[in-house]
Amino acid sequence: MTPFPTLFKGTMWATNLTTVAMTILAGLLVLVFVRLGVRRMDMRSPRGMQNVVEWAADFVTNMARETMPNERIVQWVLPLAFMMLVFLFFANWLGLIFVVDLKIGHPIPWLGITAEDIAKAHQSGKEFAIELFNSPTANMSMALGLAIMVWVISHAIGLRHPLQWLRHYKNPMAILEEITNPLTHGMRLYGNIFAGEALIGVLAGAPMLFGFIPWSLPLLVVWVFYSAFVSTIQAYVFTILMTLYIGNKAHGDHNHQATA
Amino acid sequence: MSQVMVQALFDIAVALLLGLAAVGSGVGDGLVMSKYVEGVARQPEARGSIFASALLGVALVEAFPVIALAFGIIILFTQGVL
Amino acid sequence: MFEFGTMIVTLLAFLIMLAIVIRFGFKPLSNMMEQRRLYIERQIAEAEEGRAQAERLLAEHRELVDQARRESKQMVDAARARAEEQARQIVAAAEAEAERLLEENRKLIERERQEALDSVLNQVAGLTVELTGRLLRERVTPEVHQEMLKEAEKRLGELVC
Repeated sequence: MTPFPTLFKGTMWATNLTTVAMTILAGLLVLVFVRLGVRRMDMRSPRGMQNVVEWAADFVTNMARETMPNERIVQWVLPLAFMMLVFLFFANWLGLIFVVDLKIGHPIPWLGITAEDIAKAHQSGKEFAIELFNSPTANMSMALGLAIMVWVISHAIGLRHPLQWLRHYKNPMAILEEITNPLTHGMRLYGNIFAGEALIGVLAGAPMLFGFIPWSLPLLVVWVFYSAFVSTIQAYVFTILMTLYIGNKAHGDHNHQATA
Repeated sequence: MSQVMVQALFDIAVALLLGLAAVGSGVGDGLVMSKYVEGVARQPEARGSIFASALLGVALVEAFPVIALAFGIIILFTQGVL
Repeated sequence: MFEFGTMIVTLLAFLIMLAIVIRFGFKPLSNMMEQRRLYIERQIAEAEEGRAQAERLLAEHRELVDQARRESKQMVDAARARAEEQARQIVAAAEAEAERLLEENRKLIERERQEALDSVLNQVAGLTVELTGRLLRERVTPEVHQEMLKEAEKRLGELVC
């Protein structure tokens, strides 16, 4: 549990700078990915990255059409879903590739690094280090924030037809669902990515047998592959749940039912 | 002594958390995969789409023990400070 | 554990990146895909139209070919009929010519024979009369002579005919 450089540490408004920077980095990677596909765009004969980007867009479109009630809301949510899928894919993979820890010997109070923390770390025989590079989605606030954003969007869309939106709450369990859905939605993403990275950290930092046999190496390789798989799947799951939640709230307009 | 006792209690708590989550998700994964096999046996030509749905189901079920693992690690390393 | 600051700032960062990606990446992509969809739809429509046109042209051509074949058959039939007619006419003309020539020749022969016979008859009559006259000059009066001449002529005519 290495600490992060944090603004306003100890208050409710603590801001994890690593997560913010990694969010922006993942967004930039998405931008680069899409720009690579769009750079030499050719309508007739797509090649190279354009195929990949188009495949992703088609994939998202099909996913949205399968889970949403009408074509208008599909078209509306398409950019968001595309961004979400690619962003989460890059974000989840970022922490798998490598993690940067910066060792710090003197306190920086405005980043929340106090002398106490350093002293505590040194007491337990370790050097004090802060994490500068990991998955943004391995942060609970970030993942829950995305889930809450989806929740807000779904209700904003649902409230365009207030009567139908209200009718949905005749069942008291629906109110409980309103709490559990965003919670599990965000925690699922956070838990998977965080557990993957934390376990990688634990396995990589495990003491060697007799001091030189890296017994955890096979486990580490297996777990890295599993984490890669889980990272990809979770990006897909988060996006499909997003379209599902938004589609559930999008009442009305059922007469323009999508034919897909 | 009490410090060691607290440490041991945390270890036991994490072990219980992970074990119970594993039991639940094991049952859930078993249900999903058994239904998947049934579906494929009934309609072998729909294998692709059933597999995608089954994978989604497994991912949803598998999320909870992994969340439990995340919390277990947090509990283990922060010793309940949170 | 849960930090509002992180949540708000990362959400803001995410939304800004979303706006940038949509503006510079997704919009051109979706425009292009929409354009391609329209292009393909247009192509399909054009292809269908072209096929319909081709079918129409084919039918037209088939019709034309049929017509031409019919016309040529008619033409050939007419030519053959005309040729036969002509041949028949030529043959008929030739036959008529031949008939005419034959008839002419026959008439000529007949006339010449008649003339020859007439002249022979006249000579024979003359000679006979002369001979008879010479024989009978002494004994026969001119009346008897005349009568005998008449009779002889008559007989000779019967003989000839």
